Amino acid sequence: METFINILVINYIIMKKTVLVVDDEPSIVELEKSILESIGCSVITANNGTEALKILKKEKVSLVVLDMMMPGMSGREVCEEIRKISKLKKLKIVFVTVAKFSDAGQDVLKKMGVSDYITKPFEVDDLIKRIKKHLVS
Amino acid sequence: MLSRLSEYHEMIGFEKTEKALLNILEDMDENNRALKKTKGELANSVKKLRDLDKKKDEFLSITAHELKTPLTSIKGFTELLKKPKAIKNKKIRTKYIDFILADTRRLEHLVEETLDLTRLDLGTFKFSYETVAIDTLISDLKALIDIAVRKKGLTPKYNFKKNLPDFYIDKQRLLQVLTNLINNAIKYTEKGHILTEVVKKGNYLHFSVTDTGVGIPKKEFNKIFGRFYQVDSSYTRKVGGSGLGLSICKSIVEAFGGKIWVNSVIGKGTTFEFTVLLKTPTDNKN
Repeated sequence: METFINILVINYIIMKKTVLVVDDEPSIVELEKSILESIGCSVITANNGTEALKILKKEKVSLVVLDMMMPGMSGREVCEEIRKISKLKKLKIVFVTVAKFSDAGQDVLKKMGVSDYITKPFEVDDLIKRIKKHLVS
Repeated sequence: MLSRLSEYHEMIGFEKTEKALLNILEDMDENNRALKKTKGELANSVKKLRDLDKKKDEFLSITAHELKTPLTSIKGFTELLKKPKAIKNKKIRTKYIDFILADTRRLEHLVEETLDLTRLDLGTFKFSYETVAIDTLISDLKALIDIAVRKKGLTPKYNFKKNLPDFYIDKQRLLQVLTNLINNAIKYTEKGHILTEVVKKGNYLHFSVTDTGVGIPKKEFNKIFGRFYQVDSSYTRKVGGSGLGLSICKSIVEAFGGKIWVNSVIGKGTTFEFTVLLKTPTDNKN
């Protein structure tokens, strides 16, 4: 019974959250959007860093799923820009990358306040598990 | 007298030794120069090899990225198909399946292009030459591409003289270059036409594909024939493509003894031009 209530609470929390998905690949945007909507959160999408920053300044977003390798602004540059904005200093960011990060790379991520990273091609359930964890914490 | 004679001998001895020494020094100088030259050449070769190695690494890393993107989408949408939401809703299922199919095609295309490039680099790319009449070439081209041009709302146009001589070439590979250029033109053109022209200039056939599209900035003219090149903007990413096509075109055209280049005016359109050396069956059996 307790776990059932737990799940209800978690689902209720997630339903009130908005996630921004940023990727230059339309099919990846659509995939991540479909996954996130399946767990009940609202999703906004952006095809590049500039668009993402514009949205973040206006909308209330709980978490950003950010592609690392994009033409124009890279995911890392977007992240650095996000941290320059005072109200976004604590915004949760999950990177999606092709390459695994080295230990040094992971330290850099920590310094930038990145919550997590996931490598392509990922498991849908793995992405769900991690996003849920960061949305609830 | 005797002492003067020995002095004289001594002098001659000195002179001889001095001359010999000078000769040796000159030889050493020459050796030194040769060594320096070799050293320079070696340093150049090392640098070239390093650059090549770096390029190869970049190529591999971009290939991995380009392969993993459609793979992620295929894997992800397939997993989503097994979720209750998709099982219950046919419309959602169809949407997911369409993404899976589109990205499977993209993956297939990319693998083919990567194989083509590798074969072109290794010199194992197979060409099969045949005698081709210009009429046949153009009608084959129309059959391959006209529907795609019209589908985008554009007009396909052709301009060539009927009396062009028959030529000896790998027709399929020539069509590959032309369809690649025309497909690019379709991607970057929203309205107007795509004109394909052929003229004979000296020993060469001169092909051109002109569109009325967005155009390419001048500073990009040389870069676009490089591997995985895409004009760096979200617009270009939106239209898709691996960025290998033009690099393959360049290699094929060069194998045909010709050159490829581009001219463009932003907002007006782009013309890709290439030449093909006119050969007869006896010239060269590749």
